[in-house]
Amino acid sequence: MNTPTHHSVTPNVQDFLALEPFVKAKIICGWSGKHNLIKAIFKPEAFNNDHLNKELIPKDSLVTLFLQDVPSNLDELLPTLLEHSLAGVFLIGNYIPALPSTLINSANEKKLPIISLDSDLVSVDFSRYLDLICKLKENDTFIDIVKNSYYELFLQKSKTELLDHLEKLVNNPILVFNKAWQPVNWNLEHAEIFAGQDQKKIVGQIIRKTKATRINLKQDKLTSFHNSVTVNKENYDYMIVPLIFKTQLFGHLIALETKTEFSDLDIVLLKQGALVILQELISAKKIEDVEKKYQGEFIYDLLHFNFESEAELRSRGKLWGLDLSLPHHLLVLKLMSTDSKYHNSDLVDGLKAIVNETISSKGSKPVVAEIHDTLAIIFPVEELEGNHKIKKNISDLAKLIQGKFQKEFAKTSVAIGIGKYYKSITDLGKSFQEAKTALELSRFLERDQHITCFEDLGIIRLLANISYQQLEDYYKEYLTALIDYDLKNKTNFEETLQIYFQKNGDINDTAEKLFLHPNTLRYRLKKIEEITNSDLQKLEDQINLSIACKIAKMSSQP
Amino acid sequence: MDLSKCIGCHGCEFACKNENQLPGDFRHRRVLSLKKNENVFGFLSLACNHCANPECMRVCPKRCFSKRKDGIVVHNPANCNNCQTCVSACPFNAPQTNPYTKKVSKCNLCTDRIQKGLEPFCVSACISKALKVINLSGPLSSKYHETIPDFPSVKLTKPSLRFVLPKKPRCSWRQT
Repeated sequence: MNTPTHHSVTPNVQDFLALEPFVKAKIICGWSGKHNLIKAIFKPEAFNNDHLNKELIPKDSLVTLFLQDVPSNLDELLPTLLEHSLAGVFLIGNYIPALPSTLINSANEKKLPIISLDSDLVSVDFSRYLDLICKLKENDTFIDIVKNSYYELFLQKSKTELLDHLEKLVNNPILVFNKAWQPVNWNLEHAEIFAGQDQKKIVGQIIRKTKATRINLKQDKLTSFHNSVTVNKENYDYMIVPLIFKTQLFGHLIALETKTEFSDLDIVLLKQGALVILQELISAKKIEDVEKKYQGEFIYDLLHFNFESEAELRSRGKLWGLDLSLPHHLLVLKLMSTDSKYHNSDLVDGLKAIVNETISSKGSKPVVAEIHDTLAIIFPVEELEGNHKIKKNISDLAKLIQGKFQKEFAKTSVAIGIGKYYKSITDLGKSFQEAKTALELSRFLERDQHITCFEDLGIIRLLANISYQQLEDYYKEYLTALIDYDLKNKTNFEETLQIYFQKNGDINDTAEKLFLHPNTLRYRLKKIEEITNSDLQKLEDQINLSIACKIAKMSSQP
Repeated sequence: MDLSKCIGCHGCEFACKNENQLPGDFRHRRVLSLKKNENVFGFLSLACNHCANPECMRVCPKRCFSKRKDGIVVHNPANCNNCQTCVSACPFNAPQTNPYTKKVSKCNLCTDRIQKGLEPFCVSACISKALKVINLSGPLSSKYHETIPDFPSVKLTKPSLRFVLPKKPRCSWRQT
């Protein structure tokens, strides 16, 4: 039996497994008891039930079994050991047999850790090892030493093994999110753990709280923290570690404190594990950037007619997992007024995530490409009878994306341009140019929504091609008298005329907009007719004045 | 296009015509006089502006136009049937019908020379250095302007053309 010499601290099972050579030990079951204090190390001298029953195994001891000494009926001996009040059971050997599920369940219920180490060690001076741990803890150097051993341990694991192992060690569920708060795809299995309604609410609340707290912090000042959220009147503690490299945020690691309370070692584990996860995210981002660059070049060629034939396009598209034999459509998005509290790259990443999520939920896989200062979104569409149905579907989709974006990023809006639908993929470039035109000219239309279809541009499309001087000459010819009258008499007849045409000549709607009585409006319109020497009942005069008003509005905007 | 330097020598026009073996009066690049009240106060050398949103590319039913990654808008005459849609769509009158080939033709910024790291012929031939090829992707000096008075609208097509405005003439005998 090995007993640590007198120290002011008593190590627990988790401390015991923090240093070499035991840091590589595998946890079989009962890890909720990781904080069980180890008061002694016990190595049985004989292995039979009678002997184990009679022998005094000290309370709260860690029983170590070197398996080359143990007979083959281990699964009969272990239940006997479990009846004692132990800190844990440690199996060391080259071949560790699988334990029966009844034994595992029993150990989990009793919170008794059973750990194994695949090693050919035949004996260990446990007392010296325990003494070392106690001394390090007394000197407050234990955590620093442990950091290195944990970090090296995690480096040897693959992405999914790493998360599994980290979860096991911490004994609490862990999720990794990317910068746009989406679970990373090698974590999706774990994301299913959070598919239950309560778990979803908890994670949602954590994300909202984190965003609200961090909105005013610069990225290099983000640090990990321990916090709690309340869901359905219950408090849930969690640990969040931001994954940052050279002031760039790559994502977050969230660990929920649902099973066992976080100890200092758990926090070290999370931070060291987070470093390795960060490396994975950085590598994934580099690969994604290279892929995006080449995919971006393909999309540029597709949208600017840099191809020989449709067959060539289809074969190139296959390389990117695109089936270009299906009809596709396109949206062009541009960020409008932005709140300075958001970085532009965060907004673009957020927008891409929203677009991907929205379109994927409709059963299509979108391709998103950044072209100059716009985002081009290409996605397959269902071929419907009648272009107006396709137009309606696309407009609804655009409204959905815009709504989600504005909800996510308040005080920031996105303008969306939609081109005409073309059946052939070779005409997608035309749709792209039309969408850009719609985006460019949307500010001259009287719309609040900033979603513009090329087909809805109307006469603005023609006017945009005429030189400024010609336009100015035209509108001055019709409106100079009115503008001068307004300046001289401090009236707003020009505005009245603008709104009259905006409301399609409806007296009641126009009067309501101007906060006037309809009769007052009628009088004003009569006056306008006198000043401009026109008749608002004549179609030709209506057209001329309406176009002049549109040009005046275009001229007033940059 | 540096309007303060152009002397209207038509050197760029003839260099282009010569290099591309253009017949008769057919030109890709034209030098225009800038007039105010019938007085010529400057010259403007104009060819295809290789717009960011080329209307010719959008309207061509045969997809004869394409835009390279360096921004040059190229016309491939192989499928061109001279429908004239691009001719009427372009606000700058860049694509025109070649009277010999009966197909549309326009400036392609001497892509062969660009690929060899050389300047287009018009730029090399300009004796006053009024023409220059610049990179629009980075930040630009404030001396460059997107348009000049009486120039066709640039809002829609966004031509890849920038002007250096002519200097205000100095009057040495009158105090201002």
